[in-house]
Amino acid sequence: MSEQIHDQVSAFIDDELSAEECAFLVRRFERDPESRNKLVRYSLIGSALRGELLQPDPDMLRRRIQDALNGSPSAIKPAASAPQPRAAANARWASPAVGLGLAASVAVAALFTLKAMNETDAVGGSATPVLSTIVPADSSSSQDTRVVTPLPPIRLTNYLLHHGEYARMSRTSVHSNVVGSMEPPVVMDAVMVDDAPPPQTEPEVR
Amino acid sequence: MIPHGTAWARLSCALFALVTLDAAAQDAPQEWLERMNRAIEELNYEGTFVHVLGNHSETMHIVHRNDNGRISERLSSRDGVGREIIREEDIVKFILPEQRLVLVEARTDASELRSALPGYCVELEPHYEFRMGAGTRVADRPVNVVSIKPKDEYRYGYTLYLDRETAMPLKSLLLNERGEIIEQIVFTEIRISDAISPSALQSAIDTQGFELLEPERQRTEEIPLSAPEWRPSMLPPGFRLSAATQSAIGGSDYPVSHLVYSDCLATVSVFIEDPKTDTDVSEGFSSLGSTNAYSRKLNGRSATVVGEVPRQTVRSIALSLSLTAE
Amino acid sequence: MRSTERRLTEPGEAQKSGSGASDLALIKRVQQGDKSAFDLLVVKYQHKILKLIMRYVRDPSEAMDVAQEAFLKAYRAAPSFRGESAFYTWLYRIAINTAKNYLVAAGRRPTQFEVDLQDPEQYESFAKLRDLDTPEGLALSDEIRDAVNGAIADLPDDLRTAILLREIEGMSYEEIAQTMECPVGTVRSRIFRAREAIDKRIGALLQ
Repeated sequence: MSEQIHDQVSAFIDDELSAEECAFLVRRFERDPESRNKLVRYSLIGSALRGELLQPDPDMLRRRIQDALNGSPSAIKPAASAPQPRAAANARWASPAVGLGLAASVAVAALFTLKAMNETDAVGGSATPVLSTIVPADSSSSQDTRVVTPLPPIRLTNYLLHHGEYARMSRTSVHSNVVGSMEPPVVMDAVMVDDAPPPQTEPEVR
Repeated sequence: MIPHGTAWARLSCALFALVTLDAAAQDAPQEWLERMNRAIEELNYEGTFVHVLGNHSETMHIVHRNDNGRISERLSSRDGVGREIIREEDIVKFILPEQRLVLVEARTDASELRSALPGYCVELEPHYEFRMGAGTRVADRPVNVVSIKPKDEYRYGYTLYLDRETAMPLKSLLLNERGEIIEQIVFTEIRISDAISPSALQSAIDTQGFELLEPERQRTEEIPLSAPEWRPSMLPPGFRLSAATQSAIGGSDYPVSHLVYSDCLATVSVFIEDPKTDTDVSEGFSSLGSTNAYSRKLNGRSATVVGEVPRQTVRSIALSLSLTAE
Repeated sequence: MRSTERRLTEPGEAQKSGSGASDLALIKRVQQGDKSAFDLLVVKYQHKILKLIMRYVRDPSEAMDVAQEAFLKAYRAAPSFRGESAFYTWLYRIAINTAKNYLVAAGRRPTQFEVDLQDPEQYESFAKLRDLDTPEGLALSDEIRDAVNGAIADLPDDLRTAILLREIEGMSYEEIAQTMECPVGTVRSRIFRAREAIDKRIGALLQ
């Protein structure tokens, strides 16, 4: 039986299976580690033949990505590749998850997803929270929380769209922030890392 | 008696100084800023830029159309997810394809108010330091560099790379209180043309079947600036109220007060909800990219201050909100 | 035994022998929340993507960072993949954009680093990717490569030919069948048996 499966895995790698057979096999991968490992090893053989293996550890990149997707701290790299010292600027931010680079942002995205599901931010009078679209659809993968590109809290987005109309110098920036999918919004506690003196009192003059 | 030679030297020095002063005035950063603000609004352009926030970067596509003073704009993400913002005649649409959602906000026609805001005002002088940097090239075009440094810690700084021909900002950097770069917008290509066809403003996304979220269409009213309301009692020096409206905002059952404060460069918005609106805004900081926000409750109503300014600024403004007795 | 002519595969070129059904099946699982399915896509494309990125980002460690970001971007964007293009074409675009963005942000113009596809130096720098923490001595990838080469050399001719035509030349089963003048089913069987034989040799090296 398993030889039959392995033969299918071999054909799968070569993209010589039908769509149905593919779907069947891919579902199988999820619950059958042996067939998964076969796939991984067959892939490795192909890479080795083509002289593509990463030195010294062929799995380096894959592990980093796995760690990042699972939110493990080992994947958090210092911003060595960042062109500017963003890490220092971020150090002011109270949330521990912020400022640690890509891996953390994915982890925060997961946090946000869970948090968002508890919010009852009803928009436009509709009782169905918009954020319900983030709920994982497949119950069989209950272990995997579906991490989607997080939607900023609706209210803040609405505000920003209005603010953007007046922001002028920063409108492109505001819109880019709203449209962009990179940084999930972070809601932090009202804790100041370093309290600055209040601005000079200047009564509002009209 | 002044020797002839020295007199001539002094005269030529003075002349030279005049000449350089003239040249300097031509290149004055303040003038470039004015030109830039006009260019952003008035030109027709289409381009691709990279938006960089720390380690993250994303490619965006922008189309800006000026049809006899009627401005429309489309900004879309080119990377993967493909969200879009489209500013049309009287609405702002935010399209989220993966959530199959379209958010629509009424666009306060701030154009009149905006033109009332000068591109540069003298009030900026005490709060920012302006300097011209060495020219360079961005997106294959020669640019002049304007550096704007805040003189206090309540605002951010900017380094602007302005197209020598049109004053379009082809690259802009947002700098924090320590001069570190928070955000970059860098054009990789741009086409400035006489006209943009309206079809360029159409969304590429088929929103058939998407959920549409739109606040109930209520008229945006201008609150007379003297009406008694919640106002910040403390503002960083130089910030003035430049607009006050009451608008329907998505998610709020009742109109929201929107106050706009500006020091001519940075803009801060204060949103104050009606106490009858049941808002779920958590108190404290939020942020979206380079925009900081601070929310709090004011006698049962929510107030949120947002702006491209340091966190402490939005917090201080929020905490200083109080009822003005008028 | 192995062909000395390396082949850079581009989207649309070899390795797309089938209809892309396997990639599609995997990405669909990802869209349903199966992270492990994404891992299999990473396994399949990590080397190609890294090679691609190194055409723009020379430094191996930076290229690794960029590759990681590209894959994570692809993961986050998976919900919006609609299958209109091949998965690899989509991933390829994301990788190129990520690399270019990185260069722009670092102040380097992407066009400065467009390299000649045929430039053999590319393969050299690729091989130089080193994890500084690894001590001197035979690296795991070297061991794997040696084991694979040894196994290939020991294969019967028909199995070896079949697997090399598939993996190196990127031919489809149909094309291999024509080349070797045998039925498609035989091609499939030969390739499978070749893989199994090689797998026995490297199995010990991997866990």
